[in-house]
Amino acid sequence: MSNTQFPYPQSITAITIPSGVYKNYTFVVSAYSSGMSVGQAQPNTAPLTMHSGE
Amino acid sequence: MIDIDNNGSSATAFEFLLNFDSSTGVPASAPYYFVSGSAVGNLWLNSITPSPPITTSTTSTPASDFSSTNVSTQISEIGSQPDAGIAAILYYPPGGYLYVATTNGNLYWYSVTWGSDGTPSVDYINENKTYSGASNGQVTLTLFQANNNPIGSSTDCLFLGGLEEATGVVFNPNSPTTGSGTLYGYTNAPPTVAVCRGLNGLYFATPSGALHYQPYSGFNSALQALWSAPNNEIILSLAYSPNPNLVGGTYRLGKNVYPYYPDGALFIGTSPSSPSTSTKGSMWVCDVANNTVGDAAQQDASISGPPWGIIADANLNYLCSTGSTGVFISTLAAYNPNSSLPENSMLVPNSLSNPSKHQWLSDIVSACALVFGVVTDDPVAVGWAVGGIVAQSTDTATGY
Repeated sequence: MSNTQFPYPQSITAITIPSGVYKNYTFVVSAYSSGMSVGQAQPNTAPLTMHSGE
Repeated sequence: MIDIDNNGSSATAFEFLLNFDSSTGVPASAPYYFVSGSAVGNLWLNSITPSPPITTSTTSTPASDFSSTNVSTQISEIGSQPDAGIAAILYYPPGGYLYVATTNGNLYWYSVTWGSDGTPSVDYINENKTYSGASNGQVTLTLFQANNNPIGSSTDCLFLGGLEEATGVVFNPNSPTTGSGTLYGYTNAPPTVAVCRGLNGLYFATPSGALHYQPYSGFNSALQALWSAPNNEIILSLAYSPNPNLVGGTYRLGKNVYPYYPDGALFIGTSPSSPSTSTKGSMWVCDVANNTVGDAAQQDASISGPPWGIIADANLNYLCSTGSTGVFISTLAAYNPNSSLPENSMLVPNSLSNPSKHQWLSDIVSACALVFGVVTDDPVAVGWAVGGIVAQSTDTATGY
């Protein structure tokens, strides 16, 4: 019972920018076995309404 | 840019390092800096410079796809490197400290100062080698807010978990010490493999797959485990989403007639023991309102890879790092069938064609409703609605 292969629970993090030019942009950094991945998510400029009923 | 670590070692932990405006509390403009740690104890400063959006009266779209050109790695190596693999990194803006925990249980701290040009300077201050990382634990750093303080003082507290001595040890993050902290939880007990703060208490997992809960009001050693992973699975990671907007539920006639997770949800990532790249991960959900884990998994062996790390945002979305296989996204929020955002999906499948290094760096998605806080594992209580998803082309030219 061991978690020896990749025992790093902080292998992913993200930040959503709350204001400014990049308001609501989210940047994600995640690990891979010998490197990292970096991603960007930005808000839909014409968002659907989530609470729109059934 | 081949490997994040010049020694070819694994990147293991990440933390954003943002210059917060003292009046507004928001980070300064791009580039956005982050620190990465490696399995051999290196710390690097990196940055992200997004493409400025082109904004019209109705739209705002990035000028170009996000690619390797938006990321600068290994800008500088942070001095006085720790002596073991980097298990956790935590930036504490109030004190201006960057805390780094290593797999052997040592705690290092650095000062973070910001130049007039917006670049951070990270300088070694000192270290605490009082405690030992447990061989089958995962050393963690968790920050508790002042009013949720298990040591009974009025300060914030920094929780170092995954130790041999106890469930964890608490330090005052405003005045780090080379001496002893305050032992917390069970002593001489199975170490923690994951720690997560919830609304009213602390959740932690043991190597045997048990989930424990302790209220902030006080540690009670008589409390039993809250839950055990079925089928002898182990718990790899935990994450809490507060759900302030009550996005989970069933909507009828414009009302949420059956809101669930009113106090938020705890995500519990599990896998069979001795996980490998071919392992299928599962996700369970604990309803924090009554501390009850659902009878069925939210993802039942349907995650491609072990859920090594989870981060949850404020609105019941989570991202899961599965190591070599990529990043998985899922949500408990009421799903809008008109959305092109996947409800559950491998968001960024990694290429395994060359397992020695990462083969891509690309957009994860665009138009994804994620709201992550400024401190790792700290979802913020703001929200906005789900949008669509427009996946961009993969940058095949980049290898990390």
